Amino acid sequence: MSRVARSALAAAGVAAGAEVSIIVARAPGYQPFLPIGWALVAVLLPGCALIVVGYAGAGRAETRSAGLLLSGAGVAWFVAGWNSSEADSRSVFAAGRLASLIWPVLAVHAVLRWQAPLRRVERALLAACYLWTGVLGGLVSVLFVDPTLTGCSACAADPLLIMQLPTLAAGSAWLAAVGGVVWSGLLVVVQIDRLLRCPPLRRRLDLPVALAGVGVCTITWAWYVRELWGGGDNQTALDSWLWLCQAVLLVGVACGAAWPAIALRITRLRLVRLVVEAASAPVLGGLSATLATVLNDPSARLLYPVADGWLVDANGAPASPPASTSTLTRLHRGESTIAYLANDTGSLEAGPLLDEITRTIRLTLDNERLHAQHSWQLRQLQESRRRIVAAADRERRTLERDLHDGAQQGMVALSLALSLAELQSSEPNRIALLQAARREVTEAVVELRAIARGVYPRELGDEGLDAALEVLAESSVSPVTIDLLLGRTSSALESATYFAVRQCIERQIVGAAAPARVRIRRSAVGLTVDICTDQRPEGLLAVEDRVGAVGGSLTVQPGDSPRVRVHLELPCAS
Amino acid sequence: MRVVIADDELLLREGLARLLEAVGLDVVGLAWDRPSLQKAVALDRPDVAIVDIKMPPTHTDEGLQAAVQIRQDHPTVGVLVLSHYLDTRYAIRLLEQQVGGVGYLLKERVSNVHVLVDALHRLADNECVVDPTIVAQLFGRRRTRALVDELTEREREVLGLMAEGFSNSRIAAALKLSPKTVERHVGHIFATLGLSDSDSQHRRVLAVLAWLRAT
Repeated sequence: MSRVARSALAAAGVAAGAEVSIIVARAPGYQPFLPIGWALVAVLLPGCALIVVGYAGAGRAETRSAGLLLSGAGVAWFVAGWNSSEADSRSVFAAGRLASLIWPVLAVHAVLRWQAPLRRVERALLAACYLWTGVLGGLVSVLFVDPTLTGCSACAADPLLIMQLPTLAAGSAWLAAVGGVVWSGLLVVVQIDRLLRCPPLRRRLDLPVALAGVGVCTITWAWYVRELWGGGDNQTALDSWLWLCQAVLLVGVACGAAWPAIALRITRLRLVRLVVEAASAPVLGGLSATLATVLNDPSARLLYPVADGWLVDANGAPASPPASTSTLTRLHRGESTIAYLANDTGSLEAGPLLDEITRTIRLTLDNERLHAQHSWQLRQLQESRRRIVAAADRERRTLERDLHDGAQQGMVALSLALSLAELQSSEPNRIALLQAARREVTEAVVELRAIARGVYPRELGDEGLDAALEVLAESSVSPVTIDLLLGRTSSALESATYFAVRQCIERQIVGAAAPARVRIRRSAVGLTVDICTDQRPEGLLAVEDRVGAVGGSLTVQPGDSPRVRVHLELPCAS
Repeated sequence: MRVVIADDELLLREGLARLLEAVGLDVVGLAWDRPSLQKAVALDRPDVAIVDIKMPPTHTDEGLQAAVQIRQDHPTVGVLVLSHYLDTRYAIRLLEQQVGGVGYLLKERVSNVHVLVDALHRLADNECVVDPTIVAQLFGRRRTRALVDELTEREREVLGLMAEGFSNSRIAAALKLSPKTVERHVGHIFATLGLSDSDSQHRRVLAVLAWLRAT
């Protein structure tokens, strides 16, 4: 349908252009103050430009109706050229007269529609313009004025003429001119308002066509003013200049309408270059910087969707809550969302530019998105590991307390009861039995104490790593020297360090040549722990799990033979 | 002998009271936390207060703090701290802050009523008491053992009892030796370990413990 319409418009444009060329060529005084060659160029160039750009625009879904309007404006410009005494027939002249009034409205309509769908107020204003100029300025003059009787002796006879009513015609022409001054002024306001409302990125694209539209309205306004106060049908130099300005501005409209497509090409080229550069030296999160450069918006950054509606940056870190001023623009392929573009300077609006960008950097974007999502998953796993270890530690502490406060107390109470029974008994056999039972219970209490210590040493939670290691070293069968410069740190870090040290020195043999050495220092990132022992420690996997849960690392290095050094790096931030 | 018992565990408090009464001691007051303990000590004027190290509200070392407070307010009252923890630092902290009249025993020790009564008597005599398990743990340390191994077996026994807070006369009684022999042993021990003897029995205990811990 649209293909038929745009082809028909193009054909009409060719015909109208041919006709106006004939008219201009036949009349040496078409524009008395312009040489004929220039006049021909000034007539043909705007119309052709509008029809070509309109034809191209009508081929794309988002600019279909705007393209048709633009082509229509081009045709109307040609037809307006028929408004000349050289016209072949009166009907050609009448059409020319009508078109010369309508084309500015059509052009502005096309400009507005090119930028965005019309708002209701704009639609109403345009409809009023069409009606006002079409009926009052056009139809009335065609139906009620015979130009042959008003001084244009060369003009053809009017086939549509009903009756000669020069007073009515003059009155309606005056009304049309007054209306023209009003509506052209209003359209200038509407266009400027639109420009101000428009998001910045969009504005950069729409500015040329919008400015040309404003220019067209301004010239139309000037033309109507001249109509009201200039008086007379005599061509003056001013008329010619106004006409030339109109022609130039229409070329401007055509170029402005073509500008977004050109800008897209340029942006795409720049993007491709930047993406190639970015790919040759991949920097994580570099895409955000690239986009900020391309979009000329330093606040622009990419965020990637992960599960539960979270957004993360290229490193997989949860995006800081966007400021109230920042907006998110969805980048998508089909239905699926690839990323969000966040910026602080207003909505970018899902337009052709963004689609173009998304298409161009698709691979890089996918790469960064997958990386971001992976990093996020790793973070989640890390968190979950940390929580599991923390929960286990909490339970160990609770268990240790329960053993002390529950089981141990109960057993001590039992031994007291046995002791009392012993005192109150007089039978030697019975006393011996009770004594044996009491010893058993006492031994059980001692064992329970050792078990509770193994589960979680009380001083680790209450007093910290310092005290816990001191007690550990003191109760160790083999000698241990502890070199520690530390205040308290996070309990996760303290637990990880404590259990690592304990695991390592547990297997230290009693007759070791030198004591196990433990050295703990604060480093730039957190803690470094070095444990030197005579034997390669066993069960390091459990230690690695703990160390990994706080985001640290464990390495076993050969020390002075046969000693082994276990080296831990524990970051504080976790 | 008049005794006050402070333990937040009802079963232990009552059990201990009945046991002590069964051996003829006079349990004059029972307490379950620090304020009630201090009140009982002030009102009942016991010879010794038996205090659980863990009491409400924090269940950490209220007993230690209460012991120090009682010794300050009532210097004639001995304090025996009972603990579940085999922690030498607690024992040393207690001894460092007080001159005599304080003791640190592991809880399971109290079921042996003779040990308990002996400890109470020593505390009433303003001596100090350290749990043998704690002393044994300090003895077990390697470097300590190297030096301790230079002592004769008898001297090691004497050193252990010294660390537990025994006075010379009690050591003599415990090992069935004459006081003169014990004095000779003590002199040799101090010379071997490089410690200077002190006339105060309490300082002597502290010096021995500190030496054991530091080496």
